Amino acid sequence: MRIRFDRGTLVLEAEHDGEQPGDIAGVAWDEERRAWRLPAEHHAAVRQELADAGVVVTDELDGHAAAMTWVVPGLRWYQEVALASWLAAGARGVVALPTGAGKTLVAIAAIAQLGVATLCLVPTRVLLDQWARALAVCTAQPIGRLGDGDHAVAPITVATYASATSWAPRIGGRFGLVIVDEAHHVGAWCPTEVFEMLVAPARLGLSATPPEDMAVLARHVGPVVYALTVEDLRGDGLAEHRLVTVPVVLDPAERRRYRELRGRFAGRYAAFQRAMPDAAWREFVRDSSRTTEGRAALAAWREYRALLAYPDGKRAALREILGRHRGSRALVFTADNATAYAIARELLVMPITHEIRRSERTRALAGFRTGECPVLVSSQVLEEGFDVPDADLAIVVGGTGSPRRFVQRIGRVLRPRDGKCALIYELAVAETTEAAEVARRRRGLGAAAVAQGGVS
Amino acid sequence: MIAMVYEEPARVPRLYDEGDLPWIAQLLDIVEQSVGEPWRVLVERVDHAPLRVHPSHRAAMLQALRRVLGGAGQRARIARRARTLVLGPPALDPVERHARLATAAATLGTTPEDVESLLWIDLAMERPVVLPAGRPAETELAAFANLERIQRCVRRAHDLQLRVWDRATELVRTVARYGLISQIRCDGDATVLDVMGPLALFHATIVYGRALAQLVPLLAEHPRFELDIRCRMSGEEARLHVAPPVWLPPAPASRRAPSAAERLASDLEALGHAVMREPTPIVSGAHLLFPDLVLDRSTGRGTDRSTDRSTDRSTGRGGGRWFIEVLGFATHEYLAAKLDRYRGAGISRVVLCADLATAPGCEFTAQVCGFTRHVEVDDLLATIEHSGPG
Repeated sequence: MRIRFDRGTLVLEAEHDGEQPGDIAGVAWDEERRAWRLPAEHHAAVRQELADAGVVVTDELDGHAAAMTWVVPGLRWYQEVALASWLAAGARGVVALPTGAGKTLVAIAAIAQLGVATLCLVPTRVLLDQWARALAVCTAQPIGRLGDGDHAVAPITVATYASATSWAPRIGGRFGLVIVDEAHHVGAWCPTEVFEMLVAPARLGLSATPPEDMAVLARHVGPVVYALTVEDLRGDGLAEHRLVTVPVVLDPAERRRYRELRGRFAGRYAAFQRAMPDAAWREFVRDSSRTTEGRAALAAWREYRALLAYPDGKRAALREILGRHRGSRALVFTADNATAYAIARELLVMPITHEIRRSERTRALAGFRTGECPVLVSSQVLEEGFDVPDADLAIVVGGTGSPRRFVQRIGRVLRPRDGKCALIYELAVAETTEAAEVARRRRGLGAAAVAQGGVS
Repeated sequence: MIAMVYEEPARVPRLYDEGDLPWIAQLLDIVEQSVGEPWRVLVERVDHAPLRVHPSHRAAMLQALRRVLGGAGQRARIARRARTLVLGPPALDPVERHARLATAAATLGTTPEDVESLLWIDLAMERPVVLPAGRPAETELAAFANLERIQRCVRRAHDLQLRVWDRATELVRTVARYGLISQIRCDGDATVLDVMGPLALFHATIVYGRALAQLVPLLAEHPRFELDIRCRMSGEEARLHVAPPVWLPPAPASRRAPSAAERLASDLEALGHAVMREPTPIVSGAHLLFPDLVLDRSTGRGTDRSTDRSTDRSTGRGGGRWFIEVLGFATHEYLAAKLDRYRGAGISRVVLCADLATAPGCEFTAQVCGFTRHVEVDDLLATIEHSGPG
């Protein structure tokens, strides 16, 4: 039987009498091309099935070995255990380590260990660049890039999720290992179809915050094979840190406006919840967009969120903190891009958003390292995977109640350095919905962090 | 697979027409009043304007306006230069801030106020509203908004069915170019394309939505069409139906690189062969065949656009008119079926060019010319000589 790769699927053709591709589990008949197809990720399984049945196979997909020399820095104890656990699980599964613990290094060691062509999937263009540079440090071979204007495929290729989605039908047969960074996005930001279109039998997921429901990730990448938390590595693989919540009060005019908007929204939302107690937020949005009152409630919600994102109290607190820590390298996290730009405009500091191009981002990051540009402000781009060893101050101006996002954000300043104690300031408007959000997102850090207090 | 039957009732998406022109005109008045202001100011004004339409329609029209105006990259270099000069450590007091802007202004030979206005002019919401070609026409804006609305539905599509009455060739080639699979058939005088992606054979997926959406702009060239979209809308399965009259912007000129078939045609013409490109599709039973070109070996001169099969008469080996189809992916069974369909249409002089990268082993089949990246004229002619007179 002949096995070929075509547009993200395997095509199975009989080569000898008696071979019946249609009998293989899960195949579908493509009437137009007159071919039996199977999603590419079933490659290893179908090979096994055919071998068990004694079928001779001509496989166009045999051999993903990449003759490359790697120079991998020494691994810390937990990185070695993580790698060994993954290999013991058949080179499939998720390694869950806190941000700053060196997940990328575990991945590079895995590539060197298997010696096969590898596709690394990352969520953002910033991470694309960062991964390509990290890989280039460990090998002299050119690193392929897909995304942010690049279309170069090599035995070791880094691709953004979006580019991988469009390229997988063409290149899905070329790799023996796929690594997915920030693997908790699999099934949402990173479509599962990408994995279906990849032949790669070896799969490594990396995440600081694996999802509670692992079903999708486990099916396409594997289960969690090794996990440590921030507290497990505090003072060992991660820097010591201190979390400080700064309560902020609205001025009388802001307070009045907040109450008016909140009331307008809450009345409508409460009525909806009474009528549909199990409905999700998106159902409320859909329902509200159909009526004038509903749209007014949604507009009020948006407006009070914008008000809480950067009221005068936060503005003053941010200036005070930056003044107190003049010279420190600080990452400022905001609820949205508008706030990031507002801070950048007021304080003349560099924003890092999806609109800032790679060359400018690279310059900004270099400036951050040298201290020329010691403050970066962002709503989302800096959240995941951003690697700045010397950042020691994080200021969370605004965000959501998501524990996962909070863990990702503060992880940016936890990369270890001798004697380092990272400081994380969290600005929260008292007596508003933000107080509850602070409490909710702290759960991501464990009981110790929750006990450090919040805002009433 | 496919040859899809859409049984669920169809919804017709809200598209813009004459009835919308008054409020679009009002919106354009606001745009004219906002020239020179940042886009965020325009968006805010439109949000609060007393237009009697749902906010989603205002947003759709502003998005269409961005498409019409373009200019995203304008002045980006100036903005980047200004940011390089100005952004750095936090300027925590007004004096420090003004001094930074003044230093940059001196370098750029302008005022601090200008520098401040230049800092963000390349960002979507911060750049100024400009109307380089004057006020756009309401109908033009509506056409772009319609295109965006239909494409947005198609981006969430599992599959779609397209029925056209003319010029199906470009649609068929676009389907192939984007790696989609389609079943093409005749239904009366219409050509019906059932289009999906390979993984859709196994389960519903919207991963091909962006590729499917590339077909929509081409519909502007079809005075008569029916587009049925099976998609997910607001978390629910839905079927949408679109048919003229629909205002759409003119189909964009193709900027793609020449295909293997187009390069082959050029090579043949350069050698003095008479070639007809993209001949009329051929009906074979319920199927349609789309040969890429006809090579006329009887006259040595250019051929007309007719595919009259009476020309499939020749006396010499390899003479007469030869239909050439360049294929991407192929299997032996697919090649055999394709040749059968040509024979079913009374055409025996046909050569299929199979890409050896995706169809290994297929070059050993009669009437099949293997190629890698580029179809060699000599290989094609040799295949014809071996195959003739068919």
